[in-house]
Amino acid sequence: MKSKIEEVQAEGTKDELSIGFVTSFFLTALAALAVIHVWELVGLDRMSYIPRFFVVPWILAAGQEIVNGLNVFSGRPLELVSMPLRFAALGGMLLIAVLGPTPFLLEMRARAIARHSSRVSWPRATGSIVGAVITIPVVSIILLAAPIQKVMFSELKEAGPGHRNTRDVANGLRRIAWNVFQYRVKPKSMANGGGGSVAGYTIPPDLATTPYAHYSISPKGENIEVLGRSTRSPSVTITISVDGNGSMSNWRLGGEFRDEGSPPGFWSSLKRFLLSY
Amino acid sequence: MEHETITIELKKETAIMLVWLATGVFLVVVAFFLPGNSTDLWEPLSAAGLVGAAYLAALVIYSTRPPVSAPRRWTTIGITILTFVAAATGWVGQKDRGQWQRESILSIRAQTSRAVLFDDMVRILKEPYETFHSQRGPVRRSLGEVFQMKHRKERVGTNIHTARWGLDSLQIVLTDLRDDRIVLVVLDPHARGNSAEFTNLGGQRGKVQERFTLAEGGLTHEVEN
Repeated sequence: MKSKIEEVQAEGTKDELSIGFVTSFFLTALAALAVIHVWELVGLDRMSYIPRFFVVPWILAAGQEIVNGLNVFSGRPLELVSMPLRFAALGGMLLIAVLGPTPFLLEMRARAIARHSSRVSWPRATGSIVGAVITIPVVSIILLAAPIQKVMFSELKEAGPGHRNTRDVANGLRRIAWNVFQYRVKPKSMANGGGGSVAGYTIPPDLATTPYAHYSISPKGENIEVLGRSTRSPSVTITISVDGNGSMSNWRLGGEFRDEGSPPGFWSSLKRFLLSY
Repeated sequence: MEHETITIELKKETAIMLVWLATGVFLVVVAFFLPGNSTDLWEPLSAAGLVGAAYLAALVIYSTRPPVSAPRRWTTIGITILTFVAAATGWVGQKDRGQWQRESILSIRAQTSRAVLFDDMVRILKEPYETFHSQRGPVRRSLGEVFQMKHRKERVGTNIHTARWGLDSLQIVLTDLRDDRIVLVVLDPHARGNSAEFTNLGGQRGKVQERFTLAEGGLTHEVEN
């Protein structure tokens, strides 16, 4: 003996694409196109107070974190989050958690109960389509964005130390450049004095090795070529030319950040992604 | 006078949907605004996110009860769990990334400040040092005198840095000037130094500060913070 639910289910499946459903689908699509057209026409997307991207609100929060960092960087005081940004984040959260899934899931349930779409009223059918139009892309974006973001962050973190090394190594070079100038200016009668020339210059031990880099020199005519090699990433090097006036020129970078390095391929990125979990 | 009455008839399912929507919107909005406004969005978003996740879980459980078929129920629950996991991963990843980038920016500020302050110090001390050592003959001026000839207006204890733009807050303070030495203390009141406990020259705490002492024998450089 068949249960009542099973009978209802067997009846309802033939009406999944009823006239009412298809009509409401096209009407909703037309309404969406009209909104997009008006949006473009009026230029709403160019108005600065309407943030463009709020489907994934935690990206807005991360952006605000970076803005705060930039304000500190520039010596500006931190400001409270602006109302448009707060509403954009709230809008995203409502869209993801409430406005998209509610009509979508409840309509799924209503259809399972009624089992024939001809009984579904026009506003509710439209609501369910809007719910699906919101929910399906949002879920897809969230599912796709999470691993992509993880790979990107991993790449970014790997690039970071290279850039920091560059600055650490460069700061040591500045001190050596002053030291070369000092050597040239000091008379030969004084310790570490070149008497007007850079010939015979050697790097003092406290400048030759720092917590960040090792430095070595090779004389090149009236100039001195200084090579700085990062302690943390030994492939990272900076080579410069220093004259007797302490001026630095002919900067050459080597290692992870050099131009000729090829970007990581798909498989190596995938491997890094899997290893990062 | 006749009164016309408008009656709106709602079907049961539509009424249920409106109740769910109103409840969800109310809970998420209240949770979002409850922590108050601050300089970042994480706190209100976390509160709204937790409430939103609880609402979604309840909604999924409610909407997948029988007569919804078992395969559809478990597919919906599976997709929901997967989306929750992906959203949580994305959320945590973005938070880590935002904080990491902020730290990187602050680290760049500190390193750049140190480099700029060093270059400014070189610009101030280079000429007096070369002039001092290039003196010939029996009458020679001291290092301090040579510096004072070049920087007549500068007094001990004052900031001798000329701001290049409105937000240029770097300071180069002449802290000691004697015949045989010139001491400059350079600091950036906006760049984070090595220790948060360090008290800077102007009374601030934890900012970049370095000391340069130029004597006849050369320059001594000390990273104070």
